[in-house]
Amino acid sequence: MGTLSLEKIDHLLWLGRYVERSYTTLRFITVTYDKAIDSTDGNWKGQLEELGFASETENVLEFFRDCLFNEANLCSLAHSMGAAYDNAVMLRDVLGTESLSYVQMATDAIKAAESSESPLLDLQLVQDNIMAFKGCIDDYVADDASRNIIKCGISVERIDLYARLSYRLDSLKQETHRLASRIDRTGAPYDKQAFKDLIDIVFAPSFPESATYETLGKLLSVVARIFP
Amino acid sequence: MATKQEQELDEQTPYTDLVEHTPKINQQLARYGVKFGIYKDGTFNERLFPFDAIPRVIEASTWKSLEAGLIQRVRALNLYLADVYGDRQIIADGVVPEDFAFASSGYLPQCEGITPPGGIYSHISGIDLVEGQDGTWYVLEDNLRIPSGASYPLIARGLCRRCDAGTFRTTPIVDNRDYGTRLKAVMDSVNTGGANVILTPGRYNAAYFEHAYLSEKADAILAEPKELFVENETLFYRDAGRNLRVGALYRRLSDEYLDPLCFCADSLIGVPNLMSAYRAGNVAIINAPGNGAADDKGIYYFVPKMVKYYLGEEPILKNAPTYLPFYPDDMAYVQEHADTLVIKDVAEAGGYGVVFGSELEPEKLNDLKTLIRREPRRFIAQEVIDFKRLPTYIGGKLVPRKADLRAFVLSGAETTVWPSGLTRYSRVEGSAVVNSSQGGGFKDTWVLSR
Amino acid sequence: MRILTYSFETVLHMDSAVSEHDFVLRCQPMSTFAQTVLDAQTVITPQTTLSQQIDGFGNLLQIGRIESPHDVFSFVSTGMVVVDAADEHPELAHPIYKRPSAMTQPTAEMIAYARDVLRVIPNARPQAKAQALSHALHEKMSYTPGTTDVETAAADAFSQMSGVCQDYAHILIALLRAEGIPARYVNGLIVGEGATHAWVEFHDGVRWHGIDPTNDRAIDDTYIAISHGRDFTDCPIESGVFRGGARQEQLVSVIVGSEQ
Repeated sequence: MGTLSLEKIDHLLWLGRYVERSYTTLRFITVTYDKAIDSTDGNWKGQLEELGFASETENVLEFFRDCLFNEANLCSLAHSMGAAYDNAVMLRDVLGTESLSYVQMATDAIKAAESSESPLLDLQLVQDNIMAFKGCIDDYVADDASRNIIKCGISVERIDLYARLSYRLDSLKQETHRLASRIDRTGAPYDKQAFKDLIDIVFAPSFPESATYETLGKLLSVVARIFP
Repeated sequence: MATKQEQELDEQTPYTDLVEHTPKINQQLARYGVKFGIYKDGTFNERLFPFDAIPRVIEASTWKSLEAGLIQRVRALNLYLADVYGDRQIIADGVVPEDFAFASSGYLPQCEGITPPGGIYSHISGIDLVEGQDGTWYVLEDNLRIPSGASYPLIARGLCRRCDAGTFRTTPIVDNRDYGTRLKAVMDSVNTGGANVILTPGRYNAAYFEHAYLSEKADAILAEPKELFVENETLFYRDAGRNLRVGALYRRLSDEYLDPLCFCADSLIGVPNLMSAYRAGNVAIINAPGNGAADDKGIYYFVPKMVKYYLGEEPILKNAPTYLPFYPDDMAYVQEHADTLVIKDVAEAGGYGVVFGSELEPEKLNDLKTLIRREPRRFIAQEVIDFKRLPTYIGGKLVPRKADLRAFVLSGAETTVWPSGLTRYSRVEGSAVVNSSQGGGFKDTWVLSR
Repeated sequence: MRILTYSFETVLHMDSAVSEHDFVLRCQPMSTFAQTVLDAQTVITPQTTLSQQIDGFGNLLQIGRIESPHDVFSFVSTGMVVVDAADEHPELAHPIYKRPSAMTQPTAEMIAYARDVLRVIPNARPQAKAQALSHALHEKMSYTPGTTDVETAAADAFSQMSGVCQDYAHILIALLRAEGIPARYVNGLIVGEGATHAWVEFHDGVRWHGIDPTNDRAIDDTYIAISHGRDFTDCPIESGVFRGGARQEQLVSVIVGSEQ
């Protein structure tokens, strides 16, 4: 179609971000849950606290249920996926019914898992549908700009999450590179200076080896500025 | 021995193979987000629209006459709209009383003197019909404002074909999956030079799924009011890069909310000065604002007379026998037979304000009769049509349920009828209220080609 | 017949800058049987392109959009009109002017009141009925600004028996229509008044006649009509929507004078 209002660009970008946030949040929760099983030192919440999970509870199951299913908790999987759906549902004409259906199914799968005996097993369906969604937009979203905006959203979210968790910092060069190859093909307005600052940080010879908390903090603030 | 009910089902149910697929098809419909929204106690909820896989089947010969009747009716309605907002000839000639033509809340004097592009007022008309026990079809309502429902049988058909190829190979069912193409053709035919846009009030509208789905199928831009603006009598879609002129606007927003500078000044939605672009002939609005003047429950009574008046033809389709308490004779009849009639409040839509006299306590019935005497213009009364029930799969077994049919008539370069339609059935035994907002479900409608 | 010049200025001050301001003005008189516009112009600040259209009621619209931020919006309408209230050209009344409209729904009390006022002249011609109703209202009501606002319906103004020209007009319209006489609302200007005015036109079966219930007199050659409709909501002189801010103050000045 090649015609996008600022509202639609915003929905595409946040769709990408929330889909990625759901995926990564779910993976982190799964890994942390696994570690918590063996944990003896009381630090079983692991890096989930860095993702913003502030629930005070010391009950392991209650904590993980909150991370996964409590929509009122803005960090939860249910909230992220719900937000992804809220953006996707405004984009049926751009994404197509087929692509949209995977977001719908991922959202429905979370609801189904909530009442399941083995939620973490059942949540596999959420991951499957997110992966299918990503594949589907590659195949079915005809408009380059729309596809690229979603992918920019995914990259921005990934950089943000990885920096927040100091996770796989060595992959940020690649992710930034991906973003660079797409950001000018979207037609979406972005802050060029912020993007340049991101490149300066990530491609500095000392990154990520000598990255300090301060560097990562700066990186986070720069990333937040790219798409106003 | 088979009961009467079972006999009725046996006679009518050639496609029971589909029954076993009903849950699976509904699962697929959920996957595609086939929902409608409903407000209850002030909060918005989305509900799945239950689908029943046993179709309504219309024989080729029946369809031929329905089709001719529907085209005839919509042609007359379009002529009436041009007349009521123009020379008012039908009123001068005493066919439609002034009291009805201009008392209708859908009549908007702001639309006086505007000729829409192509001279078409009702581009997408949803005509509600029922089939009586004797096989006679009756029109119950003409919906000329923003009739919804085509998207549901449209998406269901593909799923049914997937799960029962055999039936579709051996039955000559006319394909209905070209609705998007037909809609696009209508938009293109009145487009004044610019993009085709479907205007939705937003995702919290009852029919949001349909707005979004049709924009995909008709290759139109889906927009909310805030994405549009008017400058120099021209409507634009606010594209991030440049502003895109809009030539045809299929709006799914009611008249009163369309333009806060023309209709409801309190409206926070709408596109300011949209009517200036329309008045200048720079955009086609589908359907035209002011169409409510012809789909009022009171005006309905006069539609067969319009067919004779404008086309000089005998109406092919019948109205349900209707009484207007406005006329003294009809008032007397209604007062006497209120307990057997269905009484409709002309100001209400969507199955609200429909009362069956037979279901009222004597005291309530008397109150209603008094109200009718006090406000005769507000009500119409109809004979209750015992319409044919269709086999429906509810609670694990086949049961007969009352069902109506909304046929979609599309008027662009020519007027055609979509060879399908939305069949809505009542979930409740015996009930004749089939509206989705009242908990009904839907069926596909198969038109046979021979 | 009389030649009148007019100058009519409205300035809207917003409490902070607004943008994407869409507006419709009905501020320029049009030629009718009773008046001929020799010259008319409208100047808008901030400057913008104006489109001219005729609305469904037959009013002249001036339509525009100011995209960029501004905190003052003004329009000045000036011109020269030849008025002739005695013109006798026949003209039809649209049926909508017979029916109650949103702001002119009569209450049972109002219907009874009209009947009571007219009980001595039940078969009089519309002209006499209109005069009698206007006179009765003028006697009964007190002209008190601040007791009503632009959204006050006829029924409310009637029950409190006070208001301004808009309320007088709405009540008289409701009473006339209840009596089966088509009536419409008119915005306009009068010689000697510093603000816009509102009055009523009723149809006697042949042509429209103006009557001013606020001053209890027939429209003469000191009146310039600007817009009309079923009631105030159909034909406001200025209406607009914009992003941000809010209107704070509206200053109106009107000068209507004779050439002689």
